[in-house]
Amino acid sequence: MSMRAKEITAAWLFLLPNLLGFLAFTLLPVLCAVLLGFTRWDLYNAPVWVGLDNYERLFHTDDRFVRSFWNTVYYVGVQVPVGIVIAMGAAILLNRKIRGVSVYRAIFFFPVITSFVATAAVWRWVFNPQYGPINTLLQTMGAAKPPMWLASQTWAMPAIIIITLWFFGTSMVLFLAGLQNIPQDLYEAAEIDGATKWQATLRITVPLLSPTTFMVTVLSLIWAFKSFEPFLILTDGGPAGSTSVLVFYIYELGFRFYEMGYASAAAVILFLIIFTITAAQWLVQQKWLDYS
Amino acid sequence: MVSLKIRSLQIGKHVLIVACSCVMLLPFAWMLSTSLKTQPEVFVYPIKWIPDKLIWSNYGEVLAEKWFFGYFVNSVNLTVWPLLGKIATSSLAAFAFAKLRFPGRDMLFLLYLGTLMVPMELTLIPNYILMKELGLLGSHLSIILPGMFTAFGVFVLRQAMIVIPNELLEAARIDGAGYARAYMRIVMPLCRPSIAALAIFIFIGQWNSFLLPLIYLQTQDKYPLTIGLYNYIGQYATNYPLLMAASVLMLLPTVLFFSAANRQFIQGVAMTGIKG
Repeated sequence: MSMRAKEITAAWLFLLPNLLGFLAFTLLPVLCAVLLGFTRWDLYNAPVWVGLDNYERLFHTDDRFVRSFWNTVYYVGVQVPVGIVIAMGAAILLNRKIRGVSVYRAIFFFPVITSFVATAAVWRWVFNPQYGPINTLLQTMGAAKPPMWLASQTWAMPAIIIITLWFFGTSMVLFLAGLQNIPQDLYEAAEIDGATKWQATLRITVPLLSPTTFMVTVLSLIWAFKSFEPFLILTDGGPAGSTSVLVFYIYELGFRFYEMGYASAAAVILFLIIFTITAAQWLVQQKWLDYS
Repeated sequence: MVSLKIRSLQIGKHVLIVACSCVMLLPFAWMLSTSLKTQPEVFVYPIKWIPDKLIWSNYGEVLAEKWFFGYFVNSVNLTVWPLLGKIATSSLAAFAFAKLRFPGRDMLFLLYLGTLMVPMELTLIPNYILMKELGLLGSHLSIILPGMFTAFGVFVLRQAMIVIPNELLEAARIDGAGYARAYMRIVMPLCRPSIAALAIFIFIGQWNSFLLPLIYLQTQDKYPLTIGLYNYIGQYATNYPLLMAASVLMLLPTVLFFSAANRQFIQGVAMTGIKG
């Protein structure tokens, strides 16, 4: 065999294990998911082809889907911006060479590596309407009837938003990396010109961080759209569906109501949302690169 | 001469950092503290951070609980095999993408990259059906088999391997080493930091995996700690000390791992974020 042929054979042999898995468990399922979206199937009876019926149902007659969509938008719309501000602030705060800074960074990052389940019970207690510290604090501050939090249709989502903000560590780390790309001389020049620290932050740091901010925003949006565990474990989508988000609804459809085809269609919609965000990011990034 | 104003500002920021760190750790502190209390002590106000008597037996009770050890073993099973599989298959594939030339290489890699965008939620249902048809539903294999592959791992390791100078490999070839030996003796050792970082990523991801076990495994004796804890929350809804002890136990492996390797891990996150 020629050298070339040997190299090509070797390449395919090296690729084979991963490739087989990739085809079987990623590529094929994606295609199937799209096909499934056009069927109605409960796994007992044979699948029935229904064309675009599922999609029509999702958008026109399914209140629950529409509700889960808007719940997700609500969650994403609040959690992402607030999370970014917190993460950026923490990164700026920790971007200094004080003693033990890596310990502090580790502390801020630590929640990210925990399983949500592990701290779920703590959050249940924190937001407990009778005994939890939040309501106890509110009561001592004079609130007559503090919110019922996870048991209230109005306050369950805000509670979950507050809880998930605790996991800002990944964004913070990304901001820290971006901050390190800002040359120190800019700050020195600003100091010579008499700028205050606050002005330096606003006029130098924030603008120069914009590429990182952009990336963190996109990533945060995607993660937020895919959120599931808090919504299952803390409230099970309730009360009255007020915390039913997209992934939760897909889970319900597929594994509680056994509407596999319909759930697949919903999953395709979720994928399209995420795809749109990613594509938009890519396009904007291209434009940005063109300008710089 | 550092002015007094600057000094006090620096001290102020340091205080702020320490204060924020305490806030971040509060949930864990409460977890630990509660796990050693008796039930009535839990809701005492103001909060009693250090209980009068440390009830270590809470941990004993959880560990003696019929399912707990089983959950733990399942978690180990569902973590170790996919971890080994992912490292093996992705390093092999990464080697091919990084160092070998073959027709269609770049197109194939682009395809891999494309699937990074696909949320797991999309392949959830088709994979469930596949597992059902294969009769693997309810068995650990339904998670371990698909769990042995990752496009992300291929991406990361390819990045690491591309920077290895080709001269090294050519020298090895001249000495008569085959591709396999070049991979084992040269490339893999040089990639050790990336592999370590990837391994930690994968370990934590697998250990904390929730949705997949929830759906693919059907019986108590197969569930990992994540689902087990979820069941406990329902079962021990009001027995906070036991619940907290169980949660602490669940966190232990990740805490240990993280303390040992946190700097590499955080660096790894930053790197993949930038490249991605």
